[in-house]
Amino acid sequence: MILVVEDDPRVSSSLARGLGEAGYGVSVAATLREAQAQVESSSLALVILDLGLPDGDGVQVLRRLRRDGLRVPVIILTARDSVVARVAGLDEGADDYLAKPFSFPELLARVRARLRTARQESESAVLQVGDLEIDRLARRVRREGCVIELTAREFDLLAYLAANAGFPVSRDMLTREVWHVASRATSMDKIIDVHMSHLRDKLEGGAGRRLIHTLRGIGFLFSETAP
Amino acid sequence: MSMRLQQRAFIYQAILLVAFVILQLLVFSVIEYRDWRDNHHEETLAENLEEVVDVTAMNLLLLPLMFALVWWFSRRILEPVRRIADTAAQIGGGHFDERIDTRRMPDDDMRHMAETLNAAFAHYTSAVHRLRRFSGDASHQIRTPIAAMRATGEVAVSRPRNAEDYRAAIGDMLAELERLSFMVEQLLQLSRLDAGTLRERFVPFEADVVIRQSAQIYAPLCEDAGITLECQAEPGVVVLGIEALARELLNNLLDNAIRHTPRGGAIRLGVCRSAEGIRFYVHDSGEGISAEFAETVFERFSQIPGSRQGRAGLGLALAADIAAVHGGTLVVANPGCQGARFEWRLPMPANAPVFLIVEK
Repeated sequence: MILVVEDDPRVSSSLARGLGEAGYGVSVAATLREAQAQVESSSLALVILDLGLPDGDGVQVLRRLRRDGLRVPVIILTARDSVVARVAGLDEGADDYLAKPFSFPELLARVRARLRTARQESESAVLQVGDLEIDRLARRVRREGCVIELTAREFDLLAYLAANAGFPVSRDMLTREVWHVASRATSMDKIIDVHMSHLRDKLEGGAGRRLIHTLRGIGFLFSETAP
Repeated sequence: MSMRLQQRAFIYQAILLVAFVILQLLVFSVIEYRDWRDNHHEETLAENLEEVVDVTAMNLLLLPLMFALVWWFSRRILEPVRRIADTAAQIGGGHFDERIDTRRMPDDDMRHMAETLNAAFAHYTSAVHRLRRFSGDASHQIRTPIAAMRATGEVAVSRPRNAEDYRAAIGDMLAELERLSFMVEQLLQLSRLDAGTLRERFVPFEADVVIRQSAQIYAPLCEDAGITLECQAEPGVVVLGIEALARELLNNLLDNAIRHTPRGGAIRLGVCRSAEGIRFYVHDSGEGISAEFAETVFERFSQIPGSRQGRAGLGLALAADIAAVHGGTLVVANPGCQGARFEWRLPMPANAPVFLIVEK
């Protein structure tokens, strides 16, 4: 069960629906009091926490969880995106921090990552998607047994896409996770598109099936089947 | 306020004056009395004290003059206070360009205070002006994508359509939304720079590392656009500032350079030390920027004429603000020439921390 603590009904209902469709059980709390009650009564797998709640600061939920010794992963979601607020949230024991406006694919990717870590699942070094084999240790890619030469950045890009195979990946996510450019005020779109087209040429250059799909307005999807 | 201060100053000084006069008379009387006693009553006491009466009369005559002088002095000394209060009141009333007139003030603490206040006023005035321009420009720029989103959505729901059409409409709206978020992000970044509290987070970093990182990010894009990217980073140049912002400045300059350089052209990117300080530069081989636009190009939402792509025009404004936050300037070094050369000039701090290179 994922607890979504968010006072804006539109944001919380889209989150609940999106997470539900991704296969998670979701419950929603709109106030600090509701959140505290839910934290006590139900067993939670993860908490998505908005800080600015009508009856107090969401950080109190986090403090309570940590005081009770609960290691439930907490992803803070807030419009306060200053570095100070971010550090403060992480200091209180949050596992991740996402500034509004966030993209839903990014939130979903982080939820998956946090749940994976919580379950102590190790990511295997070799990813297999259809006839594509990605060895993350050796940094080598094979398709139908043939090695594909990629630049370092192209490899990182592919590895990130493949790790999120079946889920959309936004340009924002790629900017942060592959290029490690923290500021969203730098326009990386064209750079990402150039790499993406090179990567596609190399992966799909032969008669191979399409693996990277473009989703208008969202970003990209790595999948064997068209969306 | 200053009026009451002046009255108080006058009253204190007047009390002092009167006390001094009374004390003087007392002392004088005692002296005259002892004189009369020691001189074995040659004159009557009254005769002897006559002089005291004379002095008293003289004092009483002089006292109003002294009072007038005291009033005049306290007024003169406190005049700047009144001027400061008047100016502050005017600024408070919305006349942001008013300043305290310090020309006729003597070079003293009061003048120093007035100058300090003027500097503070100037700081806030520029912040207010920037904020006003910001909100004006922003509201215009933000309305456009909102209008597009709204139209797309309204048209999409106006009659039944198949799933593919809805998906396309939502995709269009999301693309527009992304444009909007990017712009809002840039605007927020600009307003954060305006806040001007970043100096506390300055740390030394190596300029050539930042240059190489930017070059590395933009190299594939240049290659794709058929542009040669040359990188000339002098090693060992240490800058005090925020590395992420410096990178953003360079990225924005490179972004701009690529947009204005034709296929087959070249972009030179680098950092060097000069007599005045440190100089970062991005030099493209495009059409260049005319002298007329060399200034306005850094204004928010400005568009270089003949620009290939209609963008919000915030990148260079952001770069200029980042340059200013670091105590430097961003300029077009060669207005009117072929191939624009943008330079971020950073004056070398007086206590250039050369040892920091070793420390790092």
